[in-house]
Amino acid sequence: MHDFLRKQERLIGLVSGDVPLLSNLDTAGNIALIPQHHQNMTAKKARELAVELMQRFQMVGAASRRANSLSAQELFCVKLLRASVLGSNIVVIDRPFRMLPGLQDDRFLLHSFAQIEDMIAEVYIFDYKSQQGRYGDHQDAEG
Amino acid sequence: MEKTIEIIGRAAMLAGASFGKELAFSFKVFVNLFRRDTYNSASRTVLVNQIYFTSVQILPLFIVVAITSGVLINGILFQMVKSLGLTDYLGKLLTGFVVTELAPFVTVMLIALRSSSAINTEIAVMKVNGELHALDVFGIDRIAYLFIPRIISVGVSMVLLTSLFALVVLSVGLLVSGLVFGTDADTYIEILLSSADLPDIILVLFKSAAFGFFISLIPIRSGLTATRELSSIPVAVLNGMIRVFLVIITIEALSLIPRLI
Repeated sequence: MHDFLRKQERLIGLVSGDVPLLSNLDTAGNIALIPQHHQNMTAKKARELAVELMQRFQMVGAASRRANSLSAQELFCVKLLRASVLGSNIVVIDRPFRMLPGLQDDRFLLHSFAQIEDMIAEVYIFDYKSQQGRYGDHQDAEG
Repeated sequence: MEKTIEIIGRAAMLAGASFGKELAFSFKVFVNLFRRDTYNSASRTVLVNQIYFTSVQILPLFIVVAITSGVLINGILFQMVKSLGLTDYLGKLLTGFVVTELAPFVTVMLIALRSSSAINTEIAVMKVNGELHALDVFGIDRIAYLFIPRIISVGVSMVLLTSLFALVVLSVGLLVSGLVFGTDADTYIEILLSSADLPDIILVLFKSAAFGFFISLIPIRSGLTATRELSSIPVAVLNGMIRVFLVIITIEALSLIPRLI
């Protein structure tokens, strides 16, 4: 899947256990880094944007925390925000239940997508066929 | 015999290929130093942080080292000058030894011990954790975001801290000069100014900048050699720091050539 993403002409926001947050930045810094680099947004504005986005998940309190102090769900939300702030409108999620081992179904995923529906047009989830039962009828799992 | 030649040849080819890669990497980074789009908001933020880590955080230790060195060196130097009757060469000794040789050497050793090892470890840890891969996935240029700010901050710190070291040691020299020879401040400053050569000052600035470039570039390059194994971190740091030491000695030796000609 990473090869598939590499071949794309434009950048696609990826949420994956293999794509960690940067450990020398806090969570807001990880989100802010994307507009700072790609849009040359000032550090202050980018951080404000990141905190504002984290508010959607009621995670403002975690803005100054590092990745290793977050729960699996918080980490997923930060990665999702980082992917959606890239501005490509497409987010690819790589084996979400590997990142969220405590979840039984996709309700948390759907709730998360709803928080950022104005920022993304399409979400693609790549997962094993064996995980198909954890997704509702609205999703097609691909092997 | 043939086997020996084969081994030497293979080692030479590997060393040549490795040197070529180092050179290509150095050139790529050097070219990026002059590209405008390198300096986006993210890079500037890292640059400011790195200058703080490299130049400002080290200041208390650095000033203590500079004052201690100043007292010791000036004490020995002035006593020797007095006992050998070389007072006419005092200015040349101070500018030629303290400013052009001692100041950059002590500064580069301190920065290499502190910042080069930190850069080397940081890049190696980022490689092991997959954070460099994360940068690639999000289209963040490693050279612009990670490497250039570190290289510039170490380069700038080298030049500034070398100047500070020289200033502190020469200021201590003013006190020691007053104690040993009873020289007043005006005479001391005049001796220093009349002994200072512009080529020497240019050489020391150029040497400091060269030190800065290589003692940051080599740890970066070395950190990138880490694999996904945790055990590769100490190996990358160890190799990097040895190469940093070798490059310091090499630049130091090369900088003596213009003075010998």
